[in-house]
Amino acid sequence: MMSPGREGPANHEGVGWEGDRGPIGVSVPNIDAIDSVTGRAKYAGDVRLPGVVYAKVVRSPIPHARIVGINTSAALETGGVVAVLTGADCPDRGYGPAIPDEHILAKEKVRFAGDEVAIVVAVDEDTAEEASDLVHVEYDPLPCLADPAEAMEVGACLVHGVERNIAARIELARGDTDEALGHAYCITEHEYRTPLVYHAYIEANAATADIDASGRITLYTGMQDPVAARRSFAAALGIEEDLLRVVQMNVGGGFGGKLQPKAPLLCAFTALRTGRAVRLVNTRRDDFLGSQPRVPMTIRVKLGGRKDGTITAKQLTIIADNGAYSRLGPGILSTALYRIDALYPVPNVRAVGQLVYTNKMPTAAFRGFGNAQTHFAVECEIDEFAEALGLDPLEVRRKNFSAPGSVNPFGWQIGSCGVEDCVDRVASASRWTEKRAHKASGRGIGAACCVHVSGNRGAFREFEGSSAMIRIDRNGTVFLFSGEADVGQGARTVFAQIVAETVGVSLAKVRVVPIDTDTAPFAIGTYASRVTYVGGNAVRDAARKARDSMLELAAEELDTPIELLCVQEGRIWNRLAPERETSVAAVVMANAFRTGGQSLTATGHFRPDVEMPDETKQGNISGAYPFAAQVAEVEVDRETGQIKLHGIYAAHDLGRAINPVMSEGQIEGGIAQGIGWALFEELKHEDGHLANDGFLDYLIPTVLDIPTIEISLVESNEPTGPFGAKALGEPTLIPTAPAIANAIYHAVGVRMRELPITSDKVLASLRALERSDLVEGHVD
Amino acid sequence: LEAPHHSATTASLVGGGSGLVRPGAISRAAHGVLFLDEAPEFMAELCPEAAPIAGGTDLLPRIKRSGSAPRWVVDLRCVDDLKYERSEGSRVAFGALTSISAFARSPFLTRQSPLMAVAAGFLGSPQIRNLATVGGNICNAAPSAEMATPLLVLDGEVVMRSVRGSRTMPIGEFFRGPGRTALGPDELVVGLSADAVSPATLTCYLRHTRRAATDIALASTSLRVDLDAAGVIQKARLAVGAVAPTPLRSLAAEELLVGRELTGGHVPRLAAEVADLVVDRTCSPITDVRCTADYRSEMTRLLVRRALEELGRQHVAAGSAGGDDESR
Repeated sequence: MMSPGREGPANHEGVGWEGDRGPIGVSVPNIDAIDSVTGRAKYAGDVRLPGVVYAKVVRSPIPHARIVGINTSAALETGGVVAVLTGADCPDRGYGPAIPDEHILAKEKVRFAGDEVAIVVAVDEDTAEEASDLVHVEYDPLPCLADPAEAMEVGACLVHGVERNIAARIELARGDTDEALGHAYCITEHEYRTPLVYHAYIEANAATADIDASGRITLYTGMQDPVAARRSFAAALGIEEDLLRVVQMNVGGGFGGKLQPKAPLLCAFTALRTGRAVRLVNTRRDDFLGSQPRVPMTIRVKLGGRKDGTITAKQLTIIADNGAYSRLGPGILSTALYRIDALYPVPNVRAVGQLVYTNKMPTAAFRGFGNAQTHFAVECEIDEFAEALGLDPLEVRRKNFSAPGSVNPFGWQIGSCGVEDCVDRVASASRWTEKRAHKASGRGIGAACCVHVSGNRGAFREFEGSSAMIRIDRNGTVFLFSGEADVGQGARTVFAQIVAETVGVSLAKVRVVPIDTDTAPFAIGTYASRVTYVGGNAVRDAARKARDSMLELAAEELDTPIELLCVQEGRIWNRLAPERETSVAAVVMANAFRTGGQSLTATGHFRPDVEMPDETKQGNISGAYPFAAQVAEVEVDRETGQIKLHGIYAAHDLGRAINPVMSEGQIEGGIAQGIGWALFEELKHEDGHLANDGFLDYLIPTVLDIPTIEISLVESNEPTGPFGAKALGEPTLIPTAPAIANAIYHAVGVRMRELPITSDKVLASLRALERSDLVEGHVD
Repeated sequence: LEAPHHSATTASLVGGGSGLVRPGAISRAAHGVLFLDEAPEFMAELCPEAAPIAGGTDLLPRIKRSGSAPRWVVDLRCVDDLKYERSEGSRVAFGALTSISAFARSPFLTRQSPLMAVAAGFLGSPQIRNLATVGGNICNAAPSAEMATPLLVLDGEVVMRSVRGSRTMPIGEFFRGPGRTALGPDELVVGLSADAVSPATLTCYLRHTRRAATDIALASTSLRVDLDAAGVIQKARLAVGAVAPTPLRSLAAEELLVGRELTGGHVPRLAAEVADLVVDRTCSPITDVRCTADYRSEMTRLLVRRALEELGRQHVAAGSAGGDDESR
């Protein structure tokens, strides 16, 4: 059987126009690498327009208060100040992807310390900064709700006027969980907590907005979803979408934090109100305060099952901390409640989640989109369950995995599934069996698995899919237009590889056109690990159509039946008579001269076979599901509680690695970020104020904190993917934290159920364990 | 102070080719002080609105953070007289502008002051170590300052200078509180000195941080003992960082150590006893965003214990190596 990735169009079967000659599966260098490392790549902060004015955001110093009045006169009287904008200048209608509970600048109330209250616009940055201190806001403080437990109390002060501050409540169930738990041989139940964490991308948010005489804004910025964000921003600004053009600059990392971030919206708003070109560049402190960190969750997991390790029932109860505004909270909560059921299709499940407003910065997407939080809880709880049964935790997982081609209780069609292979590979690479059985003192080994999606039907309401355009210029250069963004993960390179392979030209002949909403196709953006699978398929479709048109012209020119043509590296020839040859450039140029200079163009699209989940969450959320397994090996210092990582073994079923080295790079990056989540990172609030608003005390791992990472790419060859590929981006982070927590338990017998697992927490747990051992000793 | 036009030539800056080099003018044109003699004059003229700058690794983040800068910044980076390293009898002396990385790189300093070299290797990141200076580290007076506890146990002294003259002060008296020192507003730290290593001296520096690099110590300790021929402790110095308003010595622990031996099986018991004493008598840590006061105390207890055990091992190793100080 021919592998799906190598399948050509039906009428050309056997000719092998794709998948066996070009750069697919080859570790070509990232096409932007040299510009990036030599400082030539231009980011939003590099945009300098003549006559630009500078915007500085005035933030609330109080976590929760009524705004009594704002006096801007002192600021306005400062020489060089152009304008001071406040909530009064903003549209009355709120905006937000799920719940319209946010305004561009605060109206009537502030809801977190850092909430945007005013914008000072001045001719230079220093003046804007100084005048921002002169905006006098009178506040009438309200009680600060620090966490969901407090906010849900009856009679608690209301952040938005919704009862008990519950922004959303989601409940879903399949089978009969109570009955299954009643019959279970073994039941375990524990509660887990995940913290508020910042994306810590290297590039803080920045934007420059220009405005022309007609009032049309051009916004230069870097976002994960520049094309979709344009639509949301226009709606928030209350203007026609056509009056906003977004020009995407290079992006220094996003990780969910640059899905419609606030700073570019504030910048466009300022340009709209002042009629001036405006520059707004976040300081790192502004970026911390104005960030949209990961949704913290308290997750109670109850598992019930049989003696052999089969899980028959699972119950999840989640309280999610929404922060001050909703943004993507409801979708993240929904994801947390049931995505993991595609990894273990437990027949009887119940999940109840509540999303609660508090007086902290609004939360939103972060690599894993709620799925990471649940994986931490469930992957730890499975180890508890296995231990209660005296079984190997990997064996219990194997008993419960989804099978390739299966359908889970929510209707998800699993398709390719290499999770068994992932487990085999990490178990063998880490010498799992041996190290579980014979462990050195203080050392331990733990594992975790994961499932995710390749695009998420429902995150964007109207559709899931992507489109692309190809234009082959008369000199043979192939221009690709896609609206799906590269935020550093390498999408532009992967797209270029797909185009080169499909059209039959060298990689150097492919130009991936930077995104400008005036020329880019509509695209819903880089999130849900969807770009290679959904965007890549669209790119491939456009490239195929361009190639087919080109070969038709070539067939005419060479007077050869089209099915006898071969195309490679820009050369086209008759495979039975190789002397009859031409080139992509020659064919397109001849056509251009015949047609008034016309380029050869094609458009393509892809709509995955998905089904929008209904109100009971029945559907099929993604076209393909990626899987992974990771093993962590740790050593715990019993006297300090410090964790030393001795190695991470990672196997990822990504369908097919279009670029193996870039895939490995993404896995290493995801694991590093996962280590940060597991061991170091937490935005800490004291009396409602962010206490670590910089990298001095918001610690991310350094290279010395990252152990050796051994990677295995599992190529399960997804039939619907471009050349067999599916997603990779988010799964890289998801299993890391639970694998580390499970390894710590194996090492020293303490179960760390709260992230981050800092050394002081480990030490306290070790001391508590010693005390309880002593007590038990006396009883015996 | 004076902003020469960007097209000004060297000749115009030094007096129009008259041959008379006027130092002040050159310094001003260079936007930085060039000669040690004139540095205190700038400070006298401009204090208290002036801040000296050396590496800038503390001053610049502080300016960025607070949003307000001192009216004047006196740039000392070009003053060659603040960059020296030399022996002074049994002491080693070094200029305030000695970079942190110099302690790990300079053959002279690593040989003469291995304890300082070890501590220096932990400060910040390689980039910060290249910029930061020992004078700046001391003047910033962070309770966790990396170079402070080594200087305390090596009987370090600070040399300060102003237009009123020079004075020298033991480092222990120099620290007055978090970010506060004995330095007058017009004074500059120009140099430091400390005991040089001797064969009878054993030293150890330990710290505990949250991550492996580029982090501020939650607790740190320096320990130094001088032994007589019989292996009895003649002199002991023990200092702790990050657990009190200033880095400070534990006199009680030092007293307990003098006259004791670093051999035999009693080192662990001695170490535990000393560690408890340090925590009970010297530590007054705070809880902050980095960790709790209790954890700081516990880590101090552990570091002191481990430091003494380490010196015990060094002593045994030195003994078995025939008395040579090869223990490092």
